[in-house]
Amino acid sequence: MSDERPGGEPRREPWRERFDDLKGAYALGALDESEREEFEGYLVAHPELQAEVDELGSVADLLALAPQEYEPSPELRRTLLDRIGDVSNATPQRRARSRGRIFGRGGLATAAAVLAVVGLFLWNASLRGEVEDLRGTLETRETHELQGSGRRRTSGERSSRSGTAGPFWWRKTYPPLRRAKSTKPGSCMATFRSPPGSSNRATEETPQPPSRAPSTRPTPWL
Amino acid sequence: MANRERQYLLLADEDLMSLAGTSDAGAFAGLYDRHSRASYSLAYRMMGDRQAAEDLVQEAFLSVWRSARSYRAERGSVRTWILSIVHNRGIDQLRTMASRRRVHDKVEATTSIAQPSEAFAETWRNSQREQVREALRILPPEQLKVLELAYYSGYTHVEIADLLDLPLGTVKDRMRLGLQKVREYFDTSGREVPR
Repeated sequence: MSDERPGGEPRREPWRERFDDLKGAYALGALDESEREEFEGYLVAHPELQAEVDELGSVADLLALAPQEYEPSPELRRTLLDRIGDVSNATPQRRARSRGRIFGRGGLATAAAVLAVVGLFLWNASLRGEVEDLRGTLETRETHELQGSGRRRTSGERSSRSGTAGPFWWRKTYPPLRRAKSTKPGSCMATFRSPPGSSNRATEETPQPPSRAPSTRPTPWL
Repeated sequence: MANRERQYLLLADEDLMSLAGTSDAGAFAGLYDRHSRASYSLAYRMMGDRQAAEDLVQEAFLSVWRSARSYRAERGSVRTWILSIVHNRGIDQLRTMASRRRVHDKVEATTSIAQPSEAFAETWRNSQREQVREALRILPPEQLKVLELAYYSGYTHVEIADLLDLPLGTVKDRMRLGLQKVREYFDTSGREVPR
């Protein structure tokens, strides 16, 4: 393949001369794009030359160690580590942020629940007041009836109707049963005839009270 | 935490690189602590400006972080790999800079300062670094300048020929001979070329 030169040195092929001509610049990264592609084409065609190029590249890389040394600023380290933290811990951080948001939302949800309970409590108290009003009206009627029949109420009857025998929610949900006498359809106390544990259904089955007592429905949340 | 940092100190570069490949930020910090000085020195030598050098180092180390898994120990040391990333990115930046002349002036100034007798008079802390500088010190100045313009400033051999008003063949010869002499320095002194 190679001829002998006059001096005894083997004549190299043109591509090989070109290769040797460019290899120093290639190792230093000093070829332009087209020359670099040309040179790498030789390497593809002659992979046995790769070791020679790698060795020359190792020598060129030594230049990276030669410059006078300087210390980078501490801020560079902090900035860099912050940046890789943003990159690498993106998911955990997002999770943490999400946890924070969840806790934040949880706090809001708790506050909303407390407000709802307080609101219901107040509404309950209001309803109880209306029930008491209705009871008062009923007692007035009964008094008139008793007065008309000549019978007097017993203390037990008075106590149970005034609703002081237990806590108000118990009284509200499970009021003392009225005597059959006053449970005629259309009575404003009809809803209080429902047995414990079946207040909702009983309410549906029971005729609604007159318009004066629209808020006497049992509170299903209690 | 302190124990873990001590463990990083005991690990080889290759091990730290493996850990960095698994997104171990502590291992990456260890690599930075070991190689940031050399990286910054190279970047500063190339860019001629502290801020530009720091930006370059930062981008290069971010690239290291992202591509740590692609490192192959059989192809060279971690230090060489990191410095090659700094160098390649620096070359890219230099070649896209419009004010090449300004950088060239800095290179010229630095080169004049870095003449052998002064440049290598400092106390050496790193033996490999010392060997490399010693190898460069024996180069004829014209060869050293061509190597520096190519390696640190990103000029192509054609640009260097224009810049120094030399035949292209002369530039190529100086490049090749310069590298060959550095190689011979290590061969004759029985040392291996640091990889």
